[in-house]
Amino acid sequence: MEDSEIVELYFARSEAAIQETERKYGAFLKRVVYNILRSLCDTEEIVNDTYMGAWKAIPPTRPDNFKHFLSRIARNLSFDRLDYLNAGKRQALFVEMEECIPDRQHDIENLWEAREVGRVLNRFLETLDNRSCAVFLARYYYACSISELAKQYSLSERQVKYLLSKTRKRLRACFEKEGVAL
Amino acid sequence: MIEAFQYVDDRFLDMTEQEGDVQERRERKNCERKRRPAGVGFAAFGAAAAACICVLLALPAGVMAGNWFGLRNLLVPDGNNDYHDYPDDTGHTAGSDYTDYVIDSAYMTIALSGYQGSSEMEALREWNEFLAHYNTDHSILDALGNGIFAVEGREDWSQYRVYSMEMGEKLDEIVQKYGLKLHTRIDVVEPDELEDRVGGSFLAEECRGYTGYIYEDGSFQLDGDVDLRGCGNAGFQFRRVVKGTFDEVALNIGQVEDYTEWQYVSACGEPVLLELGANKALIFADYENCFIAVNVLAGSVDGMTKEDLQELADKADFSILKQ
Repeated sequence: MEDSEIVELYFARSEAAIQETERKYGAFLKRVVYNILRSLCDTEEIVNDTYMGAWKAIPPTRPDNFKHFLSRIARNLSFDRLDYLNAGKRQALFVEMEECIPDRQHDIENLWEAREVGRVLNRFLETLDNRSCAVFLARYYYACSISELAKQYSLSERQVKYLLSKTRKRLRACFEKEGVAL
Repeated sequence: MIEAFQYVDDRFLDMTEQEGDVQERRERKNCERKRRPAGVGFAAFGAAAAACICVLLALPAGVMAGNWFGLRNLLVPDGNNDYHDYPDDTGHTAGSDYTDYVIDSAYMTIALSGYQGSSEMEALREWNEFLAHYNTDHSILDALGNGIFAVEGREDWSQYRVYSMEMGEKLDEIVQKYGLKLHTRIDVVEPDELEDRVGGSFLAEECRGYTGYIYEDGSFQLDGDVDLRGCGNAGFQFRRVVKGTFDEVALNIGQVEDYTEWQYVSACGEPVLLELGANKALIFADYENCFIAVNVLAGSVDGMTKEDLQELADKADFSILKQ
């Protein structure tokens, strides 16, 4: 079923919306969530919460890209769950990103900052070649592990780490240039 | 940070998936190629393939597949005909004010601008040959004394070992013969400025650059040092020579047989040639537009290992410099 048709099911408040979403994107969402949580049990729960999140958001939201819309919900919920599970422990992803972006507690003002940082991030991603961009987002958006990235992009793990490190340094320089407080 | 990634544009996420698919297809194709059974097409290649394998087996162990060139291919032909005097059998040089130390006659020099057969190497060979037999009694140089030989409008000659019109004209003749240009300007720069001018930071932060110089065409040299896990501190001279311009710098490497040579894919993904000798190590990268040579001022007697040299190679982003 086309994404637009699935979205129409949400608008029609049809329960088939969740079924069709699961049929088309269930495996994808499980992968996104598992990459972050590394727990089958938590993954199952978060994926279900993702469907509920989509149900609550649509309508009024009509996502331009349904797949990415779902992955954003899934990521948010996953990282919230991770914060809860690992209070005090820093995941490798956060430690790596500390090099270039501040990590603060949730508040309204921070939400605005996140949007602004997101804008700068998009401008930065424009400057990257496809491969660097893909590896960077696969790591920090989809939370793929270094070994997964190495396999997927036919690189050694050392090369993946180097590529990510170089990209983070460039991102930091970009934030400094744009005046984003670090 | 996490919130910020929520605002990544969909097109970047699409591209991430596409790139992943491309890589997957590529990997699948590679696997299929390996599994392909010998068929009609294969039989036709059989004889030629067998011949290739025989050639491969006959090659010296130091030559690696994919790039047949090694240290030997960088030796300047007749490189021992340097403009320094040669010692006689007793080991003493004869009557020169410019060589007040005993030269070991058994040393070799390599070019730092390209492999044998390249225009750059051929031009260097001819220039060195000319210098070896020019003004051997040093009379012209003695007459110049502390003066500077300069010809108005010929600042390019000042970049080379030219101290007479005859030499300048010979240099012009050689570069014209090989379709090369001459350097016209050199600037001594700090490492930061050098990085700006070559397109970015090409050395890891932990590498300390002291000073460097850069020519108008982007050829440069940067001196620095770095701490390596095994041998500790190692100095280096990082050199890029843009092709198409004549470069007369050559490097004394001792004996080529003293080096262990191997190919290595550096962390930035670029293949490089590594050479580990007793007193020196070398890193080379040859590109269409430039030749890169890193002269490492440490060798195995200083505790440098293969892993150390690989670690040093990993600290350079050759992909920035190959443009």
